[in-house]
Amino acid sequence: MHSPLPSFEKCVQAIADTLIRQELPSRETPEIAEAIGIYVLAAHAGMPDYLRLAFRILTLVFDAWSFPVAGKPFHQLSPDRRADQLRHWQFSRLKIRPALISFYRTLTFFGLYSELYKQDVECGSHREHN
Amino acid sequence: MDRIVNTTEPVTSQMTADIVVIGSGPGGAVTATLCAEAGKSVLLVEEGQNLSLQSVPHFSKEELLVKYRNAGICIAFGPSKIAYVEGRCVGGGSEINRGLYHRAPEHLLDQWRAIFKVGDLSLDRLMPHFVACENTARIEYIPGETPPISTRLRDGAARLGWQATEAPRLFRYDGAGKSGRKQSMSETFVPRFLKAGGRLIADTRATRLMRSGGKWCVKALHAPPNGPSQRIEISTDRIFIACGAVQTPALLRRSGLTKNIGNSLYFHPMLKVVAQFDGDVNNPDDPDPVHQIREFEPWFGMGCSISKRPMLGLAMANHAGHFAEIDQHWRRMGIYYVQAASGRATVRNLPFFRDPLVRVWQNEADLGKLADGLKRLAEALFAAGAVAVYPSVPGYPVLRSMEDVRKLPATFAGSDGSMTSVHVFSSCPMGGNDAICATDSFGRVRDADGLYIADASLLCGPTIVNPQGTVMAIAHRNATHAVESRFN
Repeated sequence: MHSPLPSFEKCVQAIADTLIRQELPSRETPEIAEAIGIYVLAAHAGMPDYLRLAFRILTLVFDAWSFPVAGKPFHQLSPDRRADQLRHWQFSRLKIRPALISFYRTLTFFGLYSELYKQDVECGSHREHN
Repeated sequence: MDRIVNTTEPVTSQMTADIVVIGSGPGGAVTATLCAEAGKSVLLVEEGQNLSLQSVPHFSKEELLVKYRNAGICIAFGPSKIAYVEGRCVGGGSEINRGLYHRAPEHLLDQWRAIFKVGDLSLDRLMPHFVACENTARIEYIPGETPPISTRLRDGAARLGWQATEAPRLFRYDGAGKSGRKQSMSETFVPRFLKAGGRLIADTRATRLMRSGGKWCVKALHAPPNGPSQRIEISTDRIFIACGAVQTPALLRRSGLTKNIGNSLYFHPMLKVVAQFDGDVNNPDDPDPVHQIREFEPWFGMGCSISKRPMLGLAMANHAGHFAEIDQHWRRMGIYYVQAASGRATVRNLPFFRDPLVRVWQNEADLGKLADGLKRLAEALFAAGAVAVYPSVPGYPVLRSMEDVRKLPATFAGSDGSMTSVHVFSSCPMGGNDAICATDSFGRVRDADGLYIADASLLCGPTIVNPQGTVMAIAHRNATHAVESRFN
């Protein structure tokens, strides 16, 4: 049974999953999205504490945003409805909304490319260190 | 993960040393080494983990999580924002940077002497300290051909009649320059420090400094990643603070020392572009690119960046369809930057929070410089054979010709988060000018007997060039002075 309450961790996972589906619609995403979601959560845990708190609150607001219309949080929406909400915030005039999505886009895409092309990084690294 | 067992004695709640050095980056490692070799009992305290150079791949997401402060997410706020990075591990910034190396230019030292009244500072006087550091942390040029990403920038500059040079690196190349070993602090000065009898404790964050009974007390939290946290106190005669240009003023201000501390932090704000060329330039096996355009210094400089696919993804995230572009063309793509010396920031602690707040201000002229630099960079890349240039600035279009470049705005908004910096310094400048300097000409904090600063905070302003060489040489100079004057 899914909890109807907003959840920071589930919302971050859902944002990462949605961004990856938008970028790579033809690929199987669940495993890679989960790995990247874990990375995004770890990066969030390491960020400056005053920012961490602000982003946590804003992310929970984002998760709860769909309640009035859909009756459930963002992380429980269908992929299409998630994508709609993400786009709505990404292009909002209220600067804080695109800033939140931009933050998650940056981390998610860096994580995505790092997962897909980890051989690039490891290759150069090996040659430089040994 | 390749974690080094680093303590030469157990961490206990009460510790003592003649000298405590807080921070093991280029400034701290050099200072600790010289003090230990002078026969002092030295404890080097590092907030981050003690990891070997090869513990995680360079420029990987894993490295961001374990070797960077705040997982690589540090932001200076203001009308224009700057995202910056700092190291947080044994070796500090030297572990995570590319090790591009320059000695401070003479005109810069002359300026510091004139404005900040730094005594006994000139290129001649600093030269022995540069050389001494370079004897331990070796500087080399790529022995063979430089990588195509690098030579393209050099050739583009040459076609425009601009000066471009190859920067040496803190690196020991093997054979034809395809491999080698970076000369970070964990590979050079930290082993020398341990050999001289110095003690190192990692995973330990200094929270406050207190003075009582003629002694200093460092209050700290030892928090290993896989063990319980422990509060410790270290009693000592002298402290060298080398936590970096943001954390050093934060620690001093938490300890009640505020005069000229944390009021003048500077960055090298940077904008990046991805250039797509008419032929292959990007091979993951290539050594790091090393050419820089110096024609427009001291206004701004240009250079090449690591261009592996994750970095390309990050640099192109603002452009629609970036994944397909990178997937198809990454071998023809390279990342380039323009960086200026601009902006001024403050460092302040916030009540109830651990991390300090950095606020930055840049004026119209600063932002205009970056906008001009971006156009010049694109011009050099088109001269080098680029067929497209993708600015890493939200809303900026793909540039396909000089006509497109000329249509770019004359100034740069700076509020969109596209400015980054890998260099931070000058938050506690040294010198004899009491009105603006936090320390005397050799890093001694004013009105605080036995307290020194030994990192990039001391630099009097932006260096334009990569600052690590200057940080090490200044630390070597000041530590030598302290030892020779018997710390009086």
